[in-house]
Amino acid sequence: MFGFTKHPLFLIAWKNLKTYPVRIFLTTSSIILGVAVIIASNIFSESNKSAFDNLFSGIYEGIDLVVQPVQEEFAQGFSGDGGQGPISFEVKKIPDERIQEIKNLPGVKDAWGEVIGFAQFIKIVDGETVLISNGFAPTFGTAWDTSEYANQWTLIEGRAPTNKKEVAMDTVTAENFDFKVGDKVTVLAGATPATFTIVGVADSAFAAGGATFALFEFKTAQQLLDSKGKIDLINVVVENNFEVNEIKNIITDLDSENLNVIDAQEAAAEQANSIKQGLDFFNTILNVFAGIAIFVGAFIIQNTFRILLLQRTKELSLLRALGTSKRQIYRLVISESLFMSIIGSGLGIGLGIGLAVAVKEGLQYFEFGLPDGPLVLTSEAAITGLIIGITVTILSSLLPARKASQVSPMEAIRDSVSTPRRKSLFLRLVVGVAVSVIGFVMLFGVLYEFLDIPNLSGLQQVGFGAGIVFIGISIITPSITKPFVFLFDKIYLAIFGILGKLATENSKRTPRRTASTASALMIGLTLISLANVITTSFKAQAESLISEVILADYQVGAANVFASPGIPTGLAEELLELDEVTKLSRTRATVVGYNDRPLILGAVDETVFDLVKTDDIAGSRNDFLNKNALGILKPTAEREELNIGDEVTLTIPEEGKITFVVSYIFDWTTQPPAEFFVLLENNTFFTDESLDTELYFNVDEKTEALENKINAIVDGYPGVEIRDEDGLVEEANNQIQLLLNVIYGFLSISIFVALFGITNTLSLSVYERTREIGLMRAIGTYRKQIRSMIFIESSIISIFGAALGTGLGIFFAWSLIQTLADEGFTVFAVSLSQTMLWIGISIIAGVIAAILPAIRASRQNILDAISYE
Amino acid sequence: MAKIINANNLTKIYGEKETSVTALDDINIEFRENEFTAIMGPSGSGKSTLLHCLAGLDRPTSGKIFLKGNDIATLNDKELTKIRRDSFGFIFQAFNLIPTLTAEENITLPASIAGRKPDMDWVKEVVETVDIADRLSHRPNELSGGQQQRVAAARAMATKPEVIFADEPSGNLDSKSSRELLTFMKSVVEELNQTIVMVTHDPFAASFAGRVVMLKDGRIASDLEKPTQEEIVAEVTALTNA
Repeated sequence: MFGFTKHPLFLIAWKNLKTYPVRIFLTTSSIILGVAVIIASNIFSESNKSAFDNLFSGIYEGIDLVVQPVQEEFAQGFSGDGGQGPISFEVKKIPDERIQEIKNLPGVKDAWGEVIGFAQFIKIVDGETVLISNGFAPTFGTAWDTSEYANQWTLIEGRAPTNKKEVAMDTVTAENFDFKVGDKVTVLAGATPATFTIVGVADSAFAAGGATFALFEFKTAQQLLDSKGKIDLINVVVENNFEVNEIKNIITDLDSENLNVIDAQEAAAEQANSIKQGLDFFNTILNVFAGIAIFVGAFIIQNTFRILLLQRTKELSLLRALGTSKRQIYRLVISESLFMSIIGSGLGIGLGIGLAVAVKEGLQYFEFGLPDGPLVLTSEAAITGLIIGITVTILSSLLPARKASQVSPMEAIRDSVSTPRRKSLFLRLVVGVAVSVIGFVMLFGVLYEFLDIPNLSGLQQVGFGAGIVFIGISIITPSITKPFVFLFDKIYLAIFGILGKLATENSKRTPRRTASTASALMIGLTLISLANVITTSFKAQAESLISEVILADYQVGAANVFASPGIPTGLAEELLELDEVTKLSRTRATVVGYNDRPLILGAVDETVFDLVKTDDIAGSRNDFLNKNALGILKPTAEREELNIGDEVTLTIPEEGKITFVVSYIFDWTTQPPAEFFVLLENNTFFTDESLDTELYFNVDEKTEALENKINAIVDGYPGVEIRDEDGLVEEANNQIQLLLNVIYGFLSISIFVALFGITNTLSLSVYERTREIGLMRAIGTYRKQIRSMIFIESSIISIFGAALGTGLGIFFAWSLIQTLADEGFTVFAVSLSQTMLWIGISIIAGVIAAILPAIRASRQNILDAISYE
Repeated sequence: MAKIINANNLTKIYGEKETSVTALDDINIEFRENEFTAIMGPSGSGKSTLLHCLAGLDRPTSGKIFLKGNDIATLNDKELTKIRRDSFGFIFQAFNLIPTLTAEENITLPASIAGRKPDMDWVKEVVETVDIADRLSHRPNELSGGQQQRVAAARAMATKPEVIFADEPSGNLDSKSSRELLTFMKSVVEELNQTIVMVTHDPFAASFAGRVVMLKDGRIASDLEKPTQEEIVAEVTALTNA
């Protein structure tokens, strides 16, 4: 197979591997996993990228040019990112006369307008109003294109909407929420919901990624989506015998100030890119975890190599006795590791493909709405995977190979299984402590402000410091194995009797091995407990913050800020009619011009100061109640260099310029709804508006009856959600928990990899103790007891790794939170239950890893162990 | 004297068909209480196999082994393990002790794994008999070869077993330590009323026993009561040359 196997040492290496496939598997298991994660993440993102590229270029097929309104800088974010930007900015539109104008141009085959805005389907399930959306994905309403050249939507069923009572729906929503052609459906677009008949179900690349779409007849769409007489963009098809660029210039010249004409393919790429950016983030996370898996893997490969070589001491020493040089032994081992790394990386690529399929299927199962398409494995990805796998394996085998080459030819003749010579751990301890001290100095230098390394931010310095501490502790671990296990001695002796004693003694016998095995687990547990403590602290922080700053009993807001334009004003009126409502404050917002830049102007009721925590900075609240009074947030006042008494002229849409006097500067302790504030009742242009953005209110007493009454009122306004303090806390917690669960999921991979390490170490331990275990069996130890002994030993390794990791993780989290204290993070909280849970999981994992070695130990042939002939 | 362990038609065949080797060929033998028996024979005579089968470490191909009248050849692993733990004691040629345990912990190990408190008065008596009382807190690597074997002997006796099986107990010792160990073993039988079955190829070691059984080709060649060392050497020579 390999030409170079003709060389005798390569031949031995190759034969060895062929004879012991299990050996290959054990050694390469961690490399297989690491490479697999890299490959899977790469396949996943590449496949999706190419699928999105195909989809979006498909959408614009046949279209040559797209005419967009020129957006002011601040509104770009809104149109370009699929609706992820703030909704308060005013988006420019194109007057719909332009469609006809462009259509009439010579060389233009067809032109049609597009309208896009927020619309959300509503379903009544068991009397409950359910707003339909897929997670955080936006909910869109748009116009059905009637042009014969339009490709955006493909009808799957039924027909296109033709009047103001009809709507078409995207297939994903129809399938997920069980809508059929002919059904009635309520759609929330603008302030009031209306009922439509579903006449068609259609498919489009736009719906990939979870967004829902309501498709209306063109005029209806304009009306519902706040675009009366206007459109968001125009698609243009050019006659074959005309130059696209020529037409492009002609259209631009119609109104170069307000029209931006781009090639359709450019538009496709832009849209595909915005979605791909989101996936890139996911890909980065995957790569980080692949890195962790590889890092843990390197520990384990090194350990496994040591173990396997020790088991082969006799064979290697025989080779030495027969005249093989140290150098040749070294090369033999390295070439074995080369073979293994190639096989392991190859298997890793295979497993990675499988993993990618599984991830894709999994996301499909959860209706993530990713486009279908073939899985793409780029040669770059495969080569990167191979190189990483091979490099890491070979580097990890260098030290064990060196050690193996030192084997004495005498070993072959000796009878007993040799235990490795014990080198002093003192030097190690000194180096480890020195490294740790450097890390601690860097870290505490930031916290206690005595060391500031130039070119590093405080957070970076703490991060590097933590990394160095981690390395230092890893170096120290073998030295602290004995003292650590010493803690177990009495407890284990008391619980497990002599078996506990044997297990603890055995862990102390090879402190390096125990430590390096535990280290693999330590890495995962450090990251897990870091994530755990940080999120627990953030939760606690959010909780205390919410109860501190939200003084209102209830808060009302849009259920999905990306989907809903606001709260119909009728809701506030209805709530005020309740006797139990003692105080209510409305908040509204609009975009205004200030110094030729856009700014959000908020309007509030006077009561807001009783319902939301605000801090006075300058001026007075009473002056704010005056006509033409303007309140400014402190950061804005500082930025704009505005002081009490300054005059500020704002350009108000449809009102013109109005001059206000700065009368109050304050801090809004939660997420502020605006930067400038006026009193609602003093400003007619606000009172004419039909939507509130937020409501806060207090009640005289919170009772269940009242709650039901309030809920009944709020239910009449779909798209609006009411939360009390608990609800806000829960909402914040849910989001944090979701993130934490994702992190846990990935970090579990590192625990899984560490399992292989424990299995390998225990296998070696069992092998080395062949005689010891045989003797124990001979003098009457049950098989079950032998198994227990191995399980107990495994639990020591896993508790060691888990305890170290958890301790480090908590410490790092504490450092991080201390560093972020200036940013407002003040709460440090550790979840005991989560911590215990993960330590418990580690112990269980350790026991699972011990199953095979334990069975092997208990089945050991007694006579083999005690015979000498 | 009452018989304590006996084997009927004991046969042990290793391997399959053409490559099979008959290690024990239809052996009938009995051992009596409070007797020190040495089993001798040239390499391959089956002496170790006989000991392993009697001690429940190996299973005979056919035949029965009775411990105080109860057949132990048919027991499962768990039952057999219990018998080894509670009724037998063992001294092997080397690697008798768990390196991580002290001498005392090694001596009480069979009781510990049985979850019992060792009979400390008895242990004390045994320890004094084999003269290792001052080494009890040492680990095996801090003991000489002779001391290690004496600790092993003490462990073998600590549970007051029915029979102590010794497999070349003095095989790795110098002549002085060897003599000491064998003297202790002899005194254990005479003074503490123990029963010992010992395999050895060394006529000097066998001369400490009250009975010497010679094996050849898996059969009993001779059974000598209280032979002198000279008689043993003569018998061995005769067997080797026959």
